[in-house]
Amino acid sequence: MNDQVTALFRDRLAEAGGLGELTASRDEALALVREWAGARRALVDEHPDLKGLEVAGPRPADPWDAEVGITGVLGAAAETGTLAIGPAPGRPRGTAVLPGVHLAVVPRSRLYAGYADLIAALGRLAPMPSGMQLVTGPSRSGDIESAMIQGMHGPRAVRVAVYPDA
Amino acid sequence: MTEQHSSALAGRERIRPDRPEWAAGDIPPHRRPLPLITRDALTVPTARPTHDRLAALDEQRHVGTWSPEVARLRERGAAIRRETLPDLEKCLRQLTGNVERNGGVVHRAATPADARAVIERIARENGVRLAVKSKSMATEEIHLNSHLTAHGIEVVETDLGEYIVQLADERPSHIVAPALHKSRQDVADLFGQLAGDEVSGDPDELAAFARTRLRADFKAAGMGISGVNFAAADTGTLAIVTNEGNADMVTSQPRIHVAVMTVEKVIPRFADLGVLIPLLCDAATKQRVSVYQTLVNGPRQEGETDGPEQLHLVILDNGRTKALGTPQEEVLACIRCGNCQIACPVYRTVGGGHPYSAVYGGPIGAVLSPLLGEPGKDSDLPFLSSLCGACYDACPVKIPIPDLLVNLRAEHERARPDARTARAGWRAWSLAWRTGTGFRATLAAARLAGRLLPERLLARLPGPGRGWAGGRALPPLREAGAFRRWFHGRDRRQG
Amino acid sequence: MTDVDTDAGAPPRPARVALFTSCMGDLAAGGPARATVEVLEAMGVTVELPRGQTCCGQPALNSGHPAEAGALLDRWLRIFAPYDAVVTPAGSCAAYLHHHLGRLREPTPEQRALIQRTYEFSQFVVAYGAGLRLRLPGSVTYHDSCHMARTLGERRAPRELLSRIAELEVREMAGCDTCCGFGGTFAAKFPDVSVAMADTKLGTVAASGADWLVSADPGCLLHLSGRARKAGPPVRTRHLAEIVRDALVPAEVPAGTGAATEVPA
Repeated sequence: MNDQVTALFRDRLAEAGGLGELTASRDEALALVREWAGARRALVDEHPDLKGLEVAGPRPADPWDAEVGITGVLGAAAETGTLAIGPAPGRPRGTAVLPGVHLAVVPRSRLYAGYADLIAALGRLAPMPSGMQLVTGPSRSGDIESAMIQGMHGPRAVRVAVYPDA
Repeated sequence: MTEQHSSALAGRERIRPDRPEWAAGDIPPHRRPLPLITRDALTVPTARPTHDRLAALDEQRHVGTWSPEVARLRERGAAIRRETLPDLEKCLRQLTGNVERNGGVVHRAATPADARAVIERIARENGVRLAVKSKSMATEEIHLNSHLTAHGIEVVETDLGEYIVQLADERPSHIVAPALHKSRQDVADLFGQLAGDEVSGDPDELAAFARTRLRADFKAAGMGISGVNFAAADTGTLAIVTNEGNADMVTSQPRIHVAVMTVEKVIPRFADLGVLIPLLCDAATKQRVSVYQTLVNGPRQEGETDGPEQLHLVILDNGRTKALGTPQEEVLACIRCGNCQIACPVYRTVGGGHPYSAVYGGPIGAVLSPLLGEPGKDSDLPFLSSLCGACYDACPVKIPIPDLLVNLRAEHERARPDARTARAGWRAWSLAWRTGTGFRATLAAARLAGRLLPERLLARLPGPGRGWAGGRALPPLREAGAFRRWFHGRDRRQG
Repeated sequence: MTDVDTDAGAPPRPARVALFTSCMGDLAAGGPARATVEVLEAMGVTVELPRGQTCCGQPALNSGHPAEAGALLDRWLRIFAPYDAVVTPAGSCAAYLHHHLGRLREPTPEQRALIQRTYEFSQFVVAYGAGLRLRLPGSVTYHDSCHMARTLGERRAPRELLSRIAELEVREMAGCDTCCGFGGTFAAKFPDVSVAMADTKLGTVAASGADWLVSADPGCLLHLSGRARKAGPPVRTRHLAEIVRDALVPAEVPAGTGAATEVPA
């Protein structure tokens, strides 16, 4: 799969310091996520797009101890390399922000060209989730002499597998 | 429920504050005149390096120029930010209705004291001992930290820059980069004192130091306090923009979330975020979008395992609605990107926002602060600008800051204690210069003074000449009128 | 060699041209005003100097006294109304008139039209002075004065004009449009900050290595030269009109002889 929008998503996510991989199927995307996660302690959201994902590492009792968080998305934006994640039962807010590594899968049908398109799509969700986290690459800070520091409070690595679904 | 003490602030008593009085977290009530404070500021050792860093940033980012793409966003953003002003109250009521429908509690606060009292009450009623904060200028405005601390509630700033200035007992010197006046060595010294140990000046290691300490507080805190970048009236969504991810922490892990916004943060529609967030991020940090936009629609829902049990939204006025319907209402379009500060050569030269002696420094501070009753009616703040206009070029929502400053100068002149004398002086000047004879008499007088009095004496006469002559040679007054004499003399010679 | 009046494609030149000296030109910066007259005359323009002119009112407005500023503006509008064009060597005053007319007054269409035909020096020379022959060996760096660059939006004309001077090298300095710290009333109210800003500017000027610092605003130049004379680096300042005047190649030099032939028309 390599259309303009997905290629743009990969490039823009790379600019933001993340990694995007374009895969051929959901199975391939899940296999890639499993490989990325390795044997590390992982939180895996209960998300239909992640159904059937088995990771090697244990699920930590305390989410603060997780090394990897794996999520699905409400949508994504190619123009900026942005993921939109929404909490729900089985999908806590912490998955994308507490661990040092955030992994996600994005079906092509929910990858929008523009950031404003993503926002518009989120605005059409009814009901809206109680919160939405928009994430573009790893956490960073420029607060010390404008030097770019990667991995401030959130993950220091963000990896995304995109797959065709229609 | 018991909460530990803050880990991030442990050892704070070891820190020896090393800052001028006017940089303090809470601005001292008795302020020296701004010309004296700014003169001091030039001699602070960090002023020059700060200037140089800011000037480099200004150059790198081409502040004041916009790509065609962002220029279009700028037009739309400027219009959206003015849409709410004709009926701000209606937008706020719509926002309030939707936040309540989403399960949040809305508190309106007319004054900083009202806002402080509400937040303190929420903390007390819920037995909160420790609160973590993500960046919020509104809470700076109400001096929330010192108030809560005085009432036994520890407050920890979690934005790296805010954490640094909190430890140093200072205010943010820039709206989005609070510690930009500090070098890496300054931060290493500060963290070193906190830890009672040597700390490396490597920015990555400094960040790791802060990350570890703050992580414990995110986990332990009973309350998260955040600002709000935009509040969408049509959905009740609160949008918070960060790069560090601390707003995601603050709004998801503690059991109570208090969001503090000022009235003008309301926007008409959720969809407007698609314009305003990229515009804000371009202006603030030259990113397409920041790493995180945290959109809060309400407290945790049934079945969810994290997220706050209570969501409170405090909407602060603090003098802003007084500006509605006046030319100064333009300042309410501000989206707090801090770009005007980086663009401002005065702000850069005095080493950041502290010498402005108000919560908000720089060009936007000079126009916003008077609305908030800061730093006092007699302040020279509107004059602390060369009116160069770089702030207007840098403004993502096209606020005519120089014009607003000129308006404020007129207000200042009307309100000053010696207003009549000041006015009389200018009136006499204008009457004289309203006639050719009066003007030519001025030229003759200036020429006479320039011929008869030595420059050393001229420089000491009271009036603007003295300010001028401290650092500059005086203009050649003896040449006053010389051009007209040449021009007309030539006419006579020729014909 | 073509004469300005017969230049193909050139717009018709205004017949009656007035010089607006500006109060600063009258008080302390007569050199730029005189140079402006000399350049306009070299273009074949007859310059009139309305005797009753005083000041556009900018110092009063920027000091917080709009009523006094408005009164002077009214006078300015009356005095210059009869002319086909007004030219001033003070970029800031030109910008002020363009920007503040509508803020201080509800102008008539005639008053708006008068402001539309009010030019900063380089704007007028670039528009109507195509036939000037200019040469000056050396190098300059151009300081964009704030009001001229940002309020009037004129950054092109002065550079265009400098580029027409043969043998003159223009060296752009870093931060060429960064404020020099003059700011009118600001220079006296916050002298220390103002002077610190001048030092920054003089530093970048010196770093450019240019022989002359050139600007189109007498205010900036008085401030910067005053600072340089008192304590700064040995920077030499010159108003744009003075540089152009110094660069005028006398018309009587016959074509085909001497250095003048090397100068592009």
